[in-house]
Amino acid sequence: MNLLTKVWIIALSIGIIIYLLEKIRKQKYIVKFSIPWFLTFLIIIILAIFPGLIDKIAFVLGIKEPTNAIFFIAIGILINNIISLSFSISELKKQSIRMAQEIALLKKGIFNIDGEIDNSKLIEVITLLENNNMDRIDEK
Amino acid sequence: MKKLVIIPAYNEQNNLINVINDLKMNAPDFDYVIINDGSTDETMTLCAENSLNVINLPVNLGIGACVQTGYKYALKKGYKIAVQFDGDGQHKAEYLGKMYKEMIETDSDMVIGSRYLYKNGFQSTVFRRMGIKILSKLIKVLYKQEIKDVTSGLRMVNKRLVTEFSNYYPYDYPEPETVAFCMRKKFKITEVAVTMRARNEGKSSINKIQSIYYMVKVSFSIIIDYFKKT
Repeated sequence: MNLLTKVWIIALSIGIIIYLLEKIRKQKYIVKFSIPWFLTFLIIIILAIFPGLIDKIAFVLGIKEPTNAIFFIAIGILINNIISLSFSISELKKQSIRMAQEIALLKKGIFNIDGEIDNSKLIEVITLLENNNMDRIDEK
Repeated sequence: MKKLVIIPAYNEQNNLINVINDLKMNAPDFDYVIINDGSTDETMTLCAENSLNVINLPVNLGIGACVQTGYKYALKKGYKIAVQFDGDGQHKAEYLGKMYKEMIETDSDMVIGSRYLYKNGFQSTVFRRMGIKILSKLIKVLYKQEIKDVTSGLRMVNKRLVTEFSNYYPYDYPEPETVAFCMRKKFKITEVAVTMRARNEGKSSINKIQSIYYMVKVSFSIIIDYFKKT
């Protein structure tokens, strides 16, 4: 591998890692979701520093051309990252549905039909919530 | 005994009043609750103006989660019986009494209002009927019990299933999957012959192009459900 190519690959990877770290630092990005990408760029950097590894991996995988091995690994990593996103979306969907249902039921409990707060209902709901909390404390 | 009719409504401003009147006239011993699934038309205004009993979902959640909200409400309010009843006017309230009687007599957990037991009234298109038959056979192969109208949205459940559905209810195209789910959990399901009206206003949640995808998706989820543990 050309030295210039190596430098470019490593520089770009480090650039992206810094970008992601900066996002995390500003609390715009959750660490949990960044981990697959950090691992991805770590692998890229390692392979750029030790290109001989690719030949060995290609041999182990039974792939003749090392270039094809790179594609194979790259696609594998991307599939992994996308599936993990898909799991997260599924989880988010479940959570947002539950929240929307809870909000709707709570509003049903508190507001009257014109959208004004119904005080008698409000007291009822608050007592109910407090009782629920008490139950939970009792369980512990 | 407290009985609740759950009416999922998405953009049903033209049908809702008829549905409520039908219920008040032909099933007076049932309470009702409308679940407004983030309608973009005047459904909510209509409910407020007529002081209808409505739960207003803040966003559109889709039919499964919409109906589940109704079951959660039923559980919270202590209803012993809950009925799903479409907001588009295709179901007839006159059959609720018959379904209730069937439920008590046979001690069933779920009673489905079926279009195909005697093949009366509106029957849907040939293409769609074929799809329903395939799903019905699939469930029969898996659970040895035949339900003729697995996609019927008219279904009555008892307290046990109200609790069960509050915890878990499939989100997309849920009707056939819930039948499979209930059979796997050994709930007793029976069918009662009903007639339905052709949809007068609004459109079915499934159009023709989506039908094939629907079949694949639902068959897949029924098979997956078969292997679930809980």
